[in-house]
Amino acid sequence: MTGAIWRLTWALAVRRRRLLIWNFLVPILLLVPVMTSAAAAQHRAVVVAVFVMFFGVYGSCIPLIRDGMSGWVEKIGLTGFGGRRWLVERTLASTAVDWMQLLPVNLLLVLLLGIPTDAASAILVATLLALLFANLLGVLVAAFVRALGEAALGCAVLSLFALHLAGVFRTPDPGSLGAAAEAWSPLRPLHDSWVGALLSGGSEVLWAKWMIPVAALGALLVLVAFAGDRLAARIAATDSGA
Amino acid sequence: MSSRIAFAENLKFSYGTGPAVLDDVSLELRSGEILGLLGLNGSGKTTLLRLLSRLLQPTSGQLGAAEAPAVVFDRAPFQASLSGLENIALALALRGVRGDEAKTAASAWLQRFDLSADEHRPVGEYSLGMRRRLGLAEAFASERSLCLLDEPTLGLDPAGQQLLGQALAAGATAGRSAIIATNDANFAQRVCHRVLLLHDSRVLAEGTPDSLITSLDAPTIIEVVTAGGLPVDNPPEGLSVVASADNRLTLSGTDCSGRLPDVCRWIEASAGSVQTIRVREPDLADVFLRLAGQPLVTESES
Repeated sequence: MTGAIWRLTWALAVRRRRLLIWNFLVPILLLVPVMTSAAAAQHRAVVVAVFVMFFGVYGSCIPLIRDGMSGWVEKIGLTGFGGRRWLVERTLASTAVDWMQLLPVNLLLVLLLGIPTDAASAILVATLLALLFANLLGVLVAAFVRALGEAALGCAVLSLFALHLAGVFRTPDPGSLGAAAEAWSPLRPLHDSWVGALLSGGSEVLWAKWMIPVAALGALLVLVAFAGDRLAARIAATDSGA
Repeated sequence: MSSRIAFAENLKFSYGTGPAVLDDVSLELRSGEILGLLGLNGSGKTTLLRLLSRLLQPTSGQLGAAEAPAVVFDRAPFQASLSGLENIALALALRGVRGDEAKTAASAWLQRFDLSADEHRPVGEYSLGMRRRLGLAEAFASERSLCLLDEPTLGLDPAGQQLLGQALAAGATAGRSAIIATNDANFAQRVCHRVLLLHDSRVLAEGTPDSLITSLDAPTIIEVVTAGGLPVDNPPEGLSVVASADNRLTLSGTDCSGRLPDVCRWIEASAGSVQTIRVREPDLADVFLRLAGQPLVTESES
């Protein structure tokens, strides 16, 4: 791999200074007041999960739609680079950029809330998993919509449904289908790590419980990679209405 | 003998269940050859390029190319926050060219298209003409055996057109080929070795610019714009009407320069007054006009 798309994604993130500053500031301005408030731990954790999900899914989907409309995706295809390779490299780079942009707010919250190192590490890793999941969902939305408005709606609906399946909005109901879905959701580690950190200071981070969500995330990544050429072709056709 | 770089045989294409955009189109391109596709908007030129670049699949027929071509469509997307140099280096990196080598090649081609002074400026600050040059520099920098150029003169100033002509000629000498879709007859006549005239989804004629022009059998052309209507028949002896539309009349014949008074009298006697009249050599636009019955360039474009 030449890493050209990885380098491009980082270069664009750093060059677009105004957007970069907003991406650092907005999470701080939204999350710090909520997370340091007297709201219930469960509710505060919900806010983080929703924010991270939206941050990742919109940040992945909207630029993809724009790239499809501008002809950039088609141009990459014409170089012979390969849709699958482009999509995987771009998604991984975009996830890393998102994680870097959320790092200041995460570190600030760790400091302000006095979260211990173990729990802070869990939060940072869980954030990365959630962002990768959100970025992959963003790719899927981008491949199945034909306009920015549709993309915005698709991202919102799919994100909220994914959050619901992850059990973020409801009390776990042991033995139910919902509980089984929760166990598989790559969003679950993020929610659990924040709830744990806020309730008990994070003394009980159960890394073993993350194996199933990590496996599910890996499977989704493989699925997107497998269908990468078709997904890229669909994104490239965004402007044609085909 | 030069090798075959690209071909199409009995190509047919329709978008969905719509009418045929291309119908029974065949072509062959050999190494070092520059082929022009000349036709009106909507005649299927861009579709033919998209088929050759494998962005579309033909409804029927065969086509192929020796390798994936370099392509410049009229919409050439760039990363606006990257410089011209970075954009070309990126495109080369995507084709597998390594970092320093890509930058050296990018810089050399920016120089050939007179963009050296702006190579470090973000492309978002480039004018339309500069972006056109950048797209062409990017295509040539890839050093593919085949370049597909869609309306390459659109937005290019005369100096840019000259640089493009030089790049095409140098590429042809090195054995690289190009297919140029255009409705700029003058440019096609200057740079193309062969021209394919497309009209209503079909090939009207094919040949070298000289052979096509000679087939007109009209050493000179008289163009007239009248203030009123146009005479319908009986042109002065030795002249024939190539086309007439609105208030424009095109005549052809031999030794036309001494016939202008006859033409003026003919028009004034039958239709009205002559607004402008000029004599010139025939070109590919006249061939197209004769065969298609429509001018290649609209009045507003001319």
